[in-house]
Amino acid sequence: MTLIEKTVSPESPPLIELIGISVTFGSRVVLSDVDLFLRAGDEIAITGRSGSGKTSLLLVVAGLLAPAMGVVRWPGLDADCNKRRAEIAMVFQAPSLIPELSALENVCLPLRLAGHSRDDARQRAEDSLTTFDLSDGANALPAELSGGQQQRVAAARSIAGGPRVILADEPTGALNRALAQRMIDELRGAVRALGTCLVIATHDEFMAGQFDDRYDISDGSFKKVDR
Amino acid sequence: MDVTDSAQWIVGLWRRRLWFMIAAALSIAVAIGFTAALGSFVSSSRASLTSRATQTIAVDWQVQVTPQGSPASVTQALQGVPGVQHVVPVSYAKVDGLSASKTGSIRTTGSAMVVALSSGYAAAFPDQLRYLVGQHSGVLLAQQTAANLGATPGSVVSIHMSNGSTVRRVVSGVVDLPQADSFFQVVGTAPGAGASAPPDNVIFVPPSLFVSSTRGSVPTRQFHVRLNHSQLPGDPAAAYQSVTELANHFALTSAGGALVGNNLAASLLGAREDALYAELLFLLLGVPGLALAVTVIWLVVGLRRADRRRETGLLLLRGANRTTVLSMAFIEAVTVGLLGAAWGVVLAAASVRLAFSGGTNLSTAWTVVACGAGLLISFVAHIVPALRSTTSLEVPIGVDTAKAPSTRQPWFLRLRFDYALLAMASVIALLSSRNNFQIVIVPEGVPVASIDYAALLAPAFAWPGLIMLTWRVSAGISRRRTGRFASASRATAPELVAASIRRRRQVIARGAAGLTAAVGLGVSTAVFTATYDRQARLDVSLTVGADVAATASPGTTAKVSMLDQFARTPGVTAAQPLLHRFAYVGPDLQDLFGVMPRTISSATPLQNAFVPGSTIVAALSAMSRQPDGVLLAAETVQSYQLHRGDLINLRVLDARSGGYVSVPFHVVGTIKEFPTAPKDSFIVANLPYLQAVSHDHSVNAFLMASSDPRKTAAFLKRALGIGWQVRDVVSSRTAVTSTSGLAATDLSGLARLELGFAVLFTLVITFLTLGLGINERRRALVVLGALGASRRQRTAFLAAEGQMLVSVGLVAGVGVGLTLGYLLVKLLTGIFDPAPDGINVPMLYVSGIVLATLLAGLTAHAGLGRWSSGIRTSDLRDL
Repeated sequence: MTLIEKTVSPESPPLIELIGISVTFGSRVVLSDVDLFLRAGDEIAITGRSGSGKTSLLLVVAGLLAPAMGVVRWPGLDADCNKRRAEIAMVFQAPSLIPELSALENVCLPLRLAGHSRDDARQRAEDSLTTFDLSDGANALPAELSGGQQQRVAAARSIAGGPRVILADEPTGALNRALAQRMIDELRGAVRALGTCLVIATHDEFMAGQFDDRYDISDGSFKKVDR
Repeated sequence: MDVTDSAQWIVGLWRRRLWFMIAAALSIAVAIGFTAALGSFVSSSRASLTSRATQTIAVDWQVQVTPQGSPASVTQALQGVPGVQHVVPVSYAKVDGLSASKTGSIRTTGSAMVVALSSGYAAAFPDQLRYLVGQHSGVLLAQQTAANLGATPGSVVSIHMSNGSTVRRVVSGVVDLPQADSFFQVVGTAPGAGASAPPDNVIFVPPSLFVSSTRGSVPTRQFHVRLNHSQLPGDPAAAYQSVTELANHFALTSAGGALVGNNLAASLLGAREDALYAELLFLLLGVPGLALAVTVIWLVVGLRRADRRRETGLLLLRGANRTTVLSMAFIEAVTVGLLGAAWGVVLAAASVRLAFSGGTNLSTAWTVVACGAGLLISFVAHIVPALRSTTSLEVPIGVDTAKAPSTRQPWFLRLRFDYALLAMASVIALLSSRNNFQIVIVPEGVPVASIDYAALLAPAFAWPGLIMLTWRVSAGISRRRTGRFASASRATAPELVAASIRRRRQVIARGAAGLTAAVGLGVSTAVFTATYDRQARLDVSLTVGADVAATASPGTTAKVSMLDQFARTPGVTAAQPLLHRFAYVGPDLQDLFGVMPRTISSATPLQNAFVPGSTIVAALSAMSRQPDGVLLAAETVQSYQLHRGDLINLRVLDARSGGYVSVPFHVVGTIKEFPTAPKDSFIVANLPYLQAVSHDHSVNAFLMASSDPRKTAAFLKRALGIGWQVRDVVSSRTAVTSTSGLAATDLSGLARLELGFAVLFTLVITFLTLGLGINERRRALVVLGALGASRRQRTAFLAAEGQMLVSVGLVAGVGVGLTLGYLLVKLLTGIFDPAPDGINVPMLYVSGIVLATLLAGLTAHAGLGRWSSGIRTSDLRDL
């Protein structure tokens, strides 16, 4: 297990503020009156049953889903929403790689879209893949990698651009315990080095138990779980 | 699976997959509509071939009384023949000559034919005589005879009879005999073999004057017969058989007293060629369209392949058995197939109505066949993938999201099928070219005709060969894309777009090949149709003379000085005088045309095919350099062992002496066809030289090129009044038959159908291939959105593939279309009269189909952009 000490003070100003957020789908209330403040270096786990609203909350944080009520602010991020999107990286349950691009090209993609030069993007992508011990498979297509490797490529992609926030939605849901642990360790190691805020949505109690801050969503209510 | 489950399944399908179901039903409708309309054309054209062949016949039978028979017994026998409508007696007798005096000089002809026609003849056989000037009864002179004698209505003509005496007759009118060859045929030979060159001089007299005009000659007695055509079978071969058997039966009844000149059978014999060309047109134009229609269905149904695999997997996991899965696919196939069939029938009916003239109706048999085929294809396209899913060991619950399409070439490219097919097509085309592309074999006098089907292998191999080659080239181009030279901003990651295209090259190549096939079908048909149209117009121009021709009737004097007047006529862009005389080449009387060689081509379309072994420019230049130069028919040059530069003496009618005088000419080349010239031998000379040597400064006609032939002709008819005959290509087109009556009548309808459906196929395939691409890359679009790509970046990333597909498909499609259009024109050379120098590319249609494809591409692009604008939460959840 790789352990890197957190480098950011807990008193730093919030990157993202969610105040009184409610999300509804039709008549169904998924989230109700959620307050959440995310700071640089935060490592937060959000638990809840399937369909409880974990993904919805992450999408609201990313600015991809407008809440029915409440306010979302990104005071620590760029005011331009396009540039802000580059500061928030997402990792999904499935690897979500472009199948026609190699591992290296997949990692390069968000960097190039964000305006990095070809050489710079390539260098950053290679470094990122090295962090996840994937240098050997850099030129392989996703289909030539195992499920665990694919998910680690997705994780490498999420940190390559040095994002301020990483939102991971069940990133280990399709992996066995050993692979899941390895990936989480590598991801946490990387975000600690960068001082990035990491928010993980998971239904895995064991995984969630490893995080300092843990919240639970149940019947629309969002509560901090005391350790 | 009970009825309730089935109903639920169907309702669910229509609710959740509405647009897919509509697209699938529409694709089946297009295929059924095309097949039923095309089949209706084929059956209708076959059925109408007999009626069109019989319409051109002036007299069905020319029954000649033999020395063993008597007119009375033959008349009686004819009355017993079923279907006889008119029987009119006609008598022929040869006399020593005719003469007439004009302006103090006497003009005399060689031997002449005196023909007795009763007053009811013209009413019974309206197409036999064309009245040019004067009365319609009494003593009539054939046009050429009138010209030879300088006779007009009111002139006195002397008939020099075989017994040495002479009788004088007053000319009432001048007539033309359009079917003179069959009118003067040698009766008793095989059908079509008896037609012979008509006599140079002919005079028609009433029966009451016949005996007194032909003393000393042995007359030939004939009965001209009109049969009822409505009872004849639609197929020309069957009609030929029927008419021939009827004639044989009559000959048997008359017990050797009569011989039958069976003009109807001869015409039907020729129409067999049309029947075979109808078959060829179906094979060459229809089959590629049908193949494309099936491809479209396959493509559409394939759109749901991934969904279907996932549904099958889930069903199997939840305990459904194979029968249930297949039942569901069957129900979907029936629903889509029946809806497609219903729409297809409507589309077919509309297509037939729009494309063909009133004579063609939607064929019930073909509609049933097309609907059956459409349903069958729907079943196969739905059930085969379902069957595969159920037999697979894998249970594909989720879409295999991480798998890129294979970059491996398909088996037919790995085995070099494209090269092999194209090589074989080239060899077959080369062999056919040695035979001058004579693929329809119609032996004279034999009721059996056939197609050289081996020659059809050239387009049959060329079509798939070229499409496969497009696939190979397209994949090759995609493979070499690096994005290094892309001018797009770096934020669109051109090298990553290029990498994506490289790895999806087989998918792009497949789409480009489909688009190539659709565009190729449209362009090749358009090229064939445009070339045919040009040649048909040329054919009519050859008969009429030019876009508009004004011919002076006997008695009207036309001078070259009138040229300016014609040139100033509304719509006329160029006018040229034409002199028509007769000249003796040895003992043969031939048509002699005088033209201005430097300028004649400005007013009338002339082709290199007219002058074998040379070009029309070279031939006319040679004539203009040599004032006494003449172009002779190839057979004349051969018969008299003439060579270029040889001096020959022709006997030309001298206006001053009234007799034929010997005039020197120099041979400058050979000629095969010329506007207004007959099919047999004729001569073309310099107009000024002819006028000088004949001491006659009149001309016969003015040929005009016009931007609006009908309007010009109408103006001239009003301005010139009687004494001039004015014809134009547009009005004459329906009256003039080309080599193939089929083509003259039906090709425009077939072309409209083909061209319309080709545009439809192109649009559908463009939408489908691009839509299929977008559908396949839906997930990539969502991933790009999740990675922070802007709408422009998302669209640009995926649109590059569509741009590649459309540009390759269009360029290759036009190229393939031109190549196959050329091959079609060559293979169907027999349908053209005259044979074309080259293909005609209809720029308007080609531009239209290119524009339609680009428009479809842009619409798909706009759809992609719109789709990219809103990444739904549910899409992100599905990642």
